[in-house]
Amino acid sequence: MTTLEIDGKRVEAKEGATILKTAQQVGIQIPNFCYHKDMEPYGGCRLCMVEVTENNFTRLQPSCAYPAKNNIVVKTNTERLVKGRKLIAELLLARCPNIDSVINLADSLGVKKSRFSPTDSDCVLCGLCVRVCRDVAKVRAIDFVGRGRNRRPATPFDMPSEDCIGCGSCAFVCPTGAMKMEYENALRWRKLPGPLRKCRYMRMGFISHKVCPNDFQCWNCEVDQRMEDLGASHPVFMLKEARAKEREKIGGFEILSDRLYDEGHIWVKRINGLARMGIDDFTRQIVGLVNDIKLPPVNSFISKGDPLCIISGNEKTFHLYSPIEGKIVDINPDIIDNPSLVSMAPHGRGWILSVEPSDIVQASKELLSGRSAIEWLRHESHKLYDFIREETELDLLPDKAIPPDFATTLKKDIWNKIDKTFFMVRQKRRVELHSVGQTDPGPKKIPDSS
Amino acid sequence: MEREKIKRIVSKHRHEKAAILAILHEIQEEDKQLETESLNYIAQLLKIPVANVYGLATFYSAFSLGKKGDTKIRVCSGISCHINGADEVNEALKSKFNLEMGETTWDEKFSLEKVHCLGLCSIGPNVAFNLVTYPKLNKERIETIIEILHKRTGDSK
Amino acid sequence: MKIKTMGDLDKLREAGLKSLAPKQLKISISMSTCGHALGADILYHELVKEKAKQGLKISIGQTGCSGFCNLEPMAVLRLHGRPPLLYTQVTVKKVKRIIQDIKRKKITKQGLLCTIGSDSVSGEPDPALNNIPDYKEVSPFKDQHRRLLENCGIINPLSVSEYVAMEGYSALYKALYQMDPEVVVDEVIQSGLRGRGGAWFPTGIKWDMARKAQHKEKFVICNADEGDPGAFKDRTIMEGNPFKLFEGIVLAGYAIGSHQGLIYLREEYPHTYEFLNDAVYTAKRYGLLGKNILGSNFNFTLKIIRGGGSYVCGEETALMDSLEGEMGDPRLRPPFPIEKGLWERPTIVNNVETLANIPHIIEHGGESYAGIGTEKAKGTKILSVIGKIKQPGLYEVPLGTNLEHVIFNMAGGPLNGSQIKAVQVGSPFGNFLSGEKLDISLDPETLRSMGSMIGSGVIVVLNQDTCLVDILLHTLSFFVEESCGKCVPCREGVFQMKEIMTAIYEGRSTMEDLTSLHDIGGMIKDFALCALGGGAPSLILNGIRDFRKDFEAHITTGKCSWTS
Repeated sequence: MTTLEIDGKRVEAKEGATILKTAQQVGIQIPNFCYHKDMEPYGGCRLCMVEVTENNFTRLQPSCAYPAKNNIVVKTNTERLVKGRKLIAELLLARCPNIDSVINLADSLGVKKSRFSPTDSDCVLCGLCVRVCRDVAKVRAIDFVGRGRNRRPATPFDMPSEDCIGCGSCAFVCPTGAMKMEYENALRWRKLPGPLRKCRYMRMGFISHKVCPNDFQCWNCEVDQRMEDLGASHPVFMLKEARAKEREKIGGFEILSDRLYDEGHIWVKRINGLARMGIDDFTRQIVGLVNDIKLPPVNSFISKGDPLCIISGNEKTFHLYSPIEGKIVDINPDIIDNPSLVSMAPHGRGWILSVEPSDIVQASKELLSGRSAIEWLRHESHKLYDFIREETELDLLPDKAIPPDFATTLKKDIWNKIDKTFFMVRQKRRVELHSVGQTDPGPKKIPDSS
Repeated sequence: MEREKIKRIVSKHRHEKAAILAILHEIQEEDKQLETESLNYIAQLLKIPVANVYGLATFYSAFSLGKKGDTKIRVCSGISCHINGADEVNEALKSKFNLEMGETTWDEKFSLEKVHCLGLCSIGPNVAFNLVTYPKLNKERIETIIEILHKRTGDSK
Repeated sequence: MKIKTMGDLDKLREAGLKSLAPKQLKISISMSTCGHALGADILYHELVKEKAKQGLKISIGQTGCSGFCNLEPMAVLRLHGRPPLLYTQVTVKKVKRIIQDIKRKKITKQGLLCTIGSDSVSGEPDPALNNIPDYKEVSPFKDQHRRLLENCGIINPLSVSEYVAMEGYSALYKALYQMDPEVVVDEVIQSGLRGRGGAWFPTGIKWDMARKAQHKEKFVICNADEGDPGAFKDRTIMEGNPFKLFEGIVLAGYAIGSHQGLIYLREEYPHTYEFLNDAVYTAKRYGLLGKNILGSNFNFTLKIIRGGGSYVCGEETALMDSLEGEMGDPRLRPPFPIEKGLWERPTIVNNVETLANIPHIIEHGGESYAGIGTEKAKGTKILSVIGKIKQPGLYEVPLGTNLEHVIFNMAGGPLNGSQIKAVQVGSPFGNFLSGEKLDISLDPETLRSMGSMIGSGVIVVLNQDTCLVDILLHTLSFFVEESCGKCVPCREGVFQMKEIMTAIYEGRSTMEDLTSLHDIGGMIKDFALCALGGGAPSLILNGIRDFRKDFEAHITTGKCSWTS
């Protein structure tokens, strides 16, 4: 349990909470401008700075980002802080003298006018628009341009962005009204023919199809308006929940945010202390349709780098190796009956086996997740397309889907090279695995598929 | 720059997003600028949003969207050069080329920019003409150098 | 040839010694960025031509910068049986004369500064060199304690054998074959080495945390984004003795369990970029980078990455953003780079000078390293003394050396016998100290107790002709132009400070503006996100306090009282 002191009060903090969130829980308000409850902290406005005493050392820290640690003493309203915040308000007021939200903020801090030389800007550079577009909508149609005082959020070349999905979240989060959604931009999709016409929810990725009685005019859509009222927020923030299970495509390959990945193209998911494993989309696309799978016996022990399975499809065989160490406790019975399930739903029903890991914490540390997994997959994708370009006659452009019979078209030596570069990274030793259908020495009898 | 060339540069850097500064450097060096099409194409090849590439091209002072001259004149404004009379050299350059800092001559032969330190603080004031640095400058010396340059490259006023 | 065993290393050492004490006359020209600027390449090519024309039996080599750019081009003359001779400000004409004199068995005295290590070659005193001092006795080298720069300007920077002859790579060999990574880290902790980039964080402790971080992939980043105006120590190390830096980087990798290193080099050093790439290529050829370094089973790759011309990218988290292909915005901490750094992997970021210290520590042990310096700051520091000074350049001295001694006895005092008005230690963030208060010890603690910092060791000397308002305004403009724009105090606050300072400079202000500067400066110090913003106001506030006359002159008369 994390207990800390905020303004003299003992407060219990939730695990992983920041000082700001913890303070809000007990009704202590800390001024802020660039903070948004549904986004990663940015720490740009510096209004939420608080005095943190930790190990007999007092320092100012941004409460929006600083973790609520055990036994720290936090003061949110000392003279130094109040004076500093007033000055920040003065600076913001000098930058945006005609913006209501800035005037109100300054007013709440007791600042009526600024002594500094004014400029007439309508943007405080809180970065909310850029962040919501990049981190929440995952689009990045706008970004900062320039640096220092010349910095501003903008679309590339100040032209309507091709990447923009018109979700309007940038305008929604903007505290000053500087970010505006242009009507024309919203109309762009309406002009598209038939199946390309998309509703705002389709473009955000909530739904895959929609017939619209409002002629795709989101601003006339009751459902759309009600969604905003209901959540008192922009629908884009609900994406986070939806996205947790959602597949993202990196370099043409799916990646799931709730999985850990190994460099040998195995995904791992922690389920009740067990580690379930399967092949990733990268493997699936290369191998095509799986028609045979060989597996180690249940209850046997595998170490890191031991063979996990051998799958065959398109006249080619694949060796995959285990990224973790542990006892095999479960093998997916469905894939034994129907090996093609592995290629049909590699992240789902086509999972391969579960092990009881020797040290799950250590094992998960060594696996890739989140941003590092994405970067790795991007890298692998480039490597694969480079490889295809250099070694084969196929003229595959990056991002073009790999043909289903890809593996069939490859010569043996090239095939071996692919196997070696992409899949055998974990290999320690080669062990003969039993083909499905052969007698299994393990205690659990694997049903015969033939 | 032609697409083929950009493609070659990008694949030389293995389509890595981390190499984007190196990619932009190479294109900037050859084109003396980063054109809209180049930035769009880089983004497409690296599979990253254009906004990202455009942001970088505007954040780092080594890159420019507008054309820089064949000879990039970089005036050191480090503290050592400043106290040893960089302003005088600065003014001489500005008036000789009839340029402000950050501008390029109409014939795209010269562009003038300020850098914060060239790391040659004992021999300032310094001005770098592309890769050649001229040290220990004053008004007279820089004017002579410009005269010689003008003679060599044709007039540019 | 790949070095695999101690025998290989010994063979290379012999070759290096031969190259450093050749049978026939050898002239090595200093060819760093500063040498180029002063015509070293012309000199080199003239010399090659002359050799062909006259059929001279000489060899022509090159060295790096020794830290005194105004004495460039330097030439090291190696005659059989004599210690090397160091000539300064060499021209084509002078070299021709030197060669002619040698033919007549004479040694040219003109331009000859000193010998390098008088007793290192032959034990007996040489009558021909009677009045020639050794470099340890002559300004600007005297009183220096050259640990990091010992080879700079003396050996060929791209010659592995010459570096090995100067004890190079024996530390790495020792570590790889006889020391566990923990022991390497322990030695660094023992040495008391602290980060030379300006933050002075204990290097060993940083390494220890990174070593303990559990991840199969870790990074060593060498921060060569030497952005502080006035600093050129990193360039000198990189151009003068790159293998020493590489050795330090590989040692860091070995210590923390990393196999990938990156040098983030500032964009304004194009020569250095080419040069370092050559050095990496050479190191790979000798098996000093890449797979199985020195025949061991340790692998380490090193890549040189060019920055984009942004000062804030010298801040470690902004630097990592830049390496990831993003804008260089400082990140919030925690998480710290040792937990989640580059690509969210454990990462250490160390300055060039810090890493160049490592071979010495491993070779001679942490305790011996800690033998010089102050109680809390061990080792030497390269000071970059510039401005209105007789002999500007790099002075490597033990930490705790007296500032007055450095300025007057080592660097020759102010230019043309003028009066020192102010000295800024730790430019661009350090305070301007008044000319009468220079009797201080140069170490981070002393300067911190004075409300200032030693930073990366840039010392700017100003004489009575300089106006502090002008200098402070110039420095502030630098901060404004280099602010990334992320946080309000730096972006808006420092900008407003510059506006006020401009008004003061132009005589459009009142004394009240000084109060405004005070208020705003105090806030920025506390509230800014990174050290760039947070460090900006201190020197202004101290400038107002210590050089009030300059400010008053500007405010009351509306012009500068110092410049005519």
